[in-house]
Amino acid sequence: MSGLYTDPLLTLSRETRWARLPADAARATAHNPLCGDEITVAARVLDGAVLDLGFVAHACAVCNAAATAMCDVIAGAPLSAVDAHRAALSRTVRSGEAESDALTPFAALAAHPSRAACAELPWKALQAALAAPRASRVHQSTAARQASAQAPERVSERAPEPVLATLDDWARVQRLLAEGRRCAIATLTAVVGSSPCPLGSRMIVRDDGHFWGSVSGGCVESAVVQAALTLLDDPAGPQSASADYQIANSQAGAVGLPCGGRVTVHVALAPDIEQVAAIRAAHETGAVRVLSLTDGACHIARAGAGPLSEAIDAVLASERPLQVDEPTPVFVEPLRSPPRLVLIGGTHIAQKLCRMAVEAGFAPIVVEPRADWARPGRFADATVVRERAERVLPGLIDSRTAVVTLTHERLLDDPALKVALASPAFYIGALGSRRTQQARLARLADDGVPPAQLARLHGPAGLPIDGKGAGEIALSILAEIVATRRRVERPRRVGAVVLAAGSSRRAGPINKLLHPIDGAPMVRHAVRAALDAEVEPVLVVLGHEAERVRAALADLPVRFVHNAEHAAGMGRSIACGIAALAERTAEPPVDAALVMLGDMPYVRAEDIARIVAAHRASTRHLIAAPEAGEGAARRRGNPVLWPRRYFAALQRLEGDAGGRHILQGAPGAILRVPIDHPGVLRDVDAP
Amino acid sequence: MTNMRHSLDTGPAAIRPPPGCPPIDAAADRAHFPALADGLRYLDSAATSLTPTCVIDAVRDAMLAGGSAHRGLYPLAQRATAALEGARRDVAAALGGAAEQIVFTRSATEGLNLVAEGWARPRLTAGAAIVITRAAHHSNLLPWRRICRAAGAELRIAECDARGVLDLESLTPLLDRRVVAVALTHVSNVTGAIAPLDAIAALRRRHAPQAALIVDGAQALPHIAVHAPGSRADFYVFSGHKVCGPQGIGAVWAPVERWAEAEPLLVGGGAVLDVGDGHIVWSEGPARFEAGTANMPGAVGLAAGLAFLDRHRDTARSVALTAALRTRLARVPGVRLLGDPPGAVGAVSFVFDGLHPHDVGAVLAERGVAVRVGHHCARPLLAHFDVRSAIRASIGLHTSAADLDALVDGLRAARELLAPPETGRGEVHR
Ligand SMILES: Cc1ncc(COP(=O)(O)O)c(C=O)c1O
Repeated sequence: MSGLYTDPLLTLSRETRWARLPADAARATAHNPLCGDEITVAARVLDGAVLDLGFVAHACAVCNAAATAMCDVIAGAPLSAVDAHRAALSRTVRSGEAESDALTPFAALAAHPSRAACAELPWKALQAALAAPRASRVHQSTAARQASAQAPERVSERAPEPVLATLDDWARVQRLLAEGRRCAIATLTAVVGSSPCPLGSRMIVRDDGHFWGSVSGGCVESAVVQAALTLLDDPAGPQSASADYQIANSQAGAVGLPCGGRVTVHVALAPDIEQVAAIRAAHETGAVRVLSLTDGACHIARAGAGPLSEAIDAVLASERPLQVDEPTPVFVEPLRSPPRLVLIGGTHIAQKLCRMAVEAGFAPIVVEPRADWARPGRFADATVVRERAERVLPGLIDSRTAVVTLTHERLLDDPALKVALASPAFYIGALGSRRTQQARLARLADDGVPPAQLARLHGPAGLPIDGKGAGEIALSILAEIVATRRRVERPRRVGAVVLAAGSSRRAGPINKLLHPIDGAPMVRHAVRAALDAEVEPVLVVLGHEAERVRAALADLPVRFVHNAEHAAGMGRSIACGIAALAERTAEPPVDAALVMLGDMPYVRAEDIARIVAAHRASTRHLIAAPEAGEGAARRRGNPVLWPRRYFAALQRLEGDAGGRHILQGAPGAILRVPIDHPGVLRDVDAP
Repeated sequence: MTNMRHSLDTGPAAIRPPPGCPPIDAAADRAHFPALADGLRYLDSAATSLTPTCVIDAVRDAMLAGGSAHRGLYPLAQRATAALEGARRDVAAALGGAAEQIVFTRSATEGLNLVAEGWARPRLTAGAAIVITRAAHHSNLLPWRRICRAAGAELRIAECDARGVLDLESLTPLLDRRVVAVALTHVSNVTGAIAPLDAIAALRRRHAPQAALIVDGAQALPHIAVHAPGSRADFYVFSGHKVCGPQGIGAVWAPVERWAEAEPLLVGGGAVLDVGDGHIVWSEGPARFEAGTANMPGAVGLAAGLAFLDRHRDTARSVALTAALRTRLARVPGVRLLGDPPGAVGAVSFVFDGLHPHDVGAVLAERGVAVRVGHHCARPLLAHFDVRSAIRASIGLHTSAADLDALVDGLRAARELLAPPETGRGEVHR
């Protein structure tokens, strides 16, 4: 009936899936003075991609349809693609030939040249939102709104981007400086009462007033921009300034706070480009940045001596910034970006997880293509990406990212898992029962996911805390993520105690430990296996014929401990070795100790490695013991790996009993490691 | 006439004019207007009137004659001067005035800017005031706002009531000794409401006798034979392209004493008699305000347009046809008319059932019906009616009941096409 108003166009125009303005997004309004159409587009950008967007329009069907089509292609797309998509639309409405299926409804506009502007209006608003609005325009827009509406002037405003990756801030500063721009950095250095942004939140203000980031969720940003521009405008003037701002009550109310707080924002000129590069390089290396609140200068510092050492230790341990007033006021911030938690599926559990994750210092991102689940307001704490996960995940994951699938929809979960398992994400978990997990693993394997990748999947996700309900399940998942993260960042350190003190009762006249086996003294085999399995340190407990045994091991990188009471049985030797291991203060403390018997020469390095690996892979600190043998003969062997929390009990051992009775008292705390070699069972009592 | 009877007798019942709407003939035959040759149903005369052949001919003749008015002593130039000044006399006569009271402009917009910048601005001091109305076209709002901002003066806005009628009670308290000018819109381009010039002039005399009355007559002249000197206006502003004249010409009528108080908007050739290093001798009369070579063909066309209008214009018919238009529209399900001013003339604006005006306009255009959609350069008034944009149908000399039929038909078609499918008809709702 009508060339322009086709069903596809009208259907698109009635679509409401993008009819919302995501919070914390850059936004701009575009007007068509010809017909009074008006559309506001808000877009949230992360890592150079449009993560989320939406629009509110008072506009015709063509404009509404074009806006929906725009959001469809732009959600998840890189910023660099925006211009190309707009150009494709422009060409289509001019030539009448659709360049893609999505553009087909707009081809008929070629016959209605005055309506092309309607289709381009959403793009105008999007580009304005993404472009650099000058600070002055923020003020203008208020004035323009107050003046009784008439003039077809375009009003642009920009809400702050979320404070997601502080590392990105420095990348941005470096890029700006490289482009020859000047900029200032505003840092939230103190908060009294409640504030929408955490301490250390940053804004970067460019010399033309364009800014990124937020220090108050939109409350004091324009004042901060002014302060920054004042610094930037006067090169001869001060390099930095601090000011206190009151967070208005209404603003506090809008972000869910009962009352307004007071914040202090420090603004300083950006360091020079070499220093910015150094700051970026120092990220994730255990360094902090010390910012002088008196002159705005900064330097990189590490743990060690000096007046700030205590503060630096505290900042590194907590990963949160700290203001120190003595001897001169400085702000110490960790050079780390928050780890990300990417949740596939905007479910109930995702809601709980987001809230907890923020508390634990993660930046949560919810990836959810389904409108109902990604409804605005469901995720106040998270960035919501309305997109299929497999499209956006590659841009979201780094080695400090955890990914959890929560949808229960294999069509959504499986493709996401495939991308995640091949990525450097430190944790990949999937919600679902054990049975679901089996089926999932089978499907993924069928799909060609290699076993090494499948082994990375935590499923069912979460520590076994028998959680009930969404909150507790979320807690268990977050706990597992934290545990995994800590382990990945610092693998558990495992040392070995090799018992070579002998015992007068068993040894007989000749020292069996020195008896040659395969051409080497028996004790050497055990020690070599420990060293080859890269266990560090290796302590050898000497006693009977200590000098001879020491001589047999003299060329190996081991340390010796002497058990004067070796005749009292194996218990004292274990206690002695563990005490020495636990006491070693010069090195990082060990998290667990392998207790090895000098008379078990057939234990292989690979067996030890397997025991250690099993322990490291487990989120819990369990005793790990090898198990070997067939059928009824299957039994526990040696060496046994003891987590640190058993050290005290081990140091109290007496007599010849070894740790057996501790093991018997803790059956649920034992991780059984199957070993398909009898060496772990075999000791050599008499040559 | 025959045309219309035909459609009335054989058309479906739905398009038969309802009782109370007598069939109304065109005031001037469609054949006068070349733009209507292909059957266009033109309901946008408030945006610009269609140009009748006789006006096109007059402009063409003037261009064929050529020459630059007031620029030469040879016959060609003298004929151009005569044509321009003849047009000035004719235009003045059409408003009941004298030639020296008419200054030609490019448009009503330029005319209003001329009065604001040239006459009002020099007398505007901080603390002074200008009064305008809610019904103002942007062209009768922005010039005033600009000079008020510049001078630190106050811009006062007289309100309209729910019917779109200027509220004299809201106007009265705005009038006092500080008011420099009262700028009115004679006929609203949105609602067709006619401002009561006499009553306003009386209020002015009582409360603010020092204030000048400036009247935007752009939408009035097409339907009302205005006698400018008798209107008590100090400046009466209008535009050629709404009175069957060409685009690019307009005029302002004012008594000579007012012109003597004013300064030109533009300065340059023709506006001065003599220029020395330290002195200027201004031209006398309207020429002072018309720097640069005059738009002689435009002025001739304006005079011809007003003459054509004078032959065909019938205010009573315009009012009746406007009323018929309102009635017909009001009976289309889903239509909401903006305002309801008694005796409205020319334009009717409406919104349609949650459909966007732009889309409705496009569907009507596809069916050969021309209406205006958008904010009609009257944002404050649309805001008063709580809409951002609207559809406007407006009548001209050629408008007849057949145009109204086509409009009403088109609206029904637009609704069928654009309205979302009703719920429960195959739509899945989650
Ligand atoms: C009431 C009114 N005033 C002023 C104008 C502006 O006229 P012009 O286009 O000649 O500048 C118009 C035309 O739209 C109008 O309707």
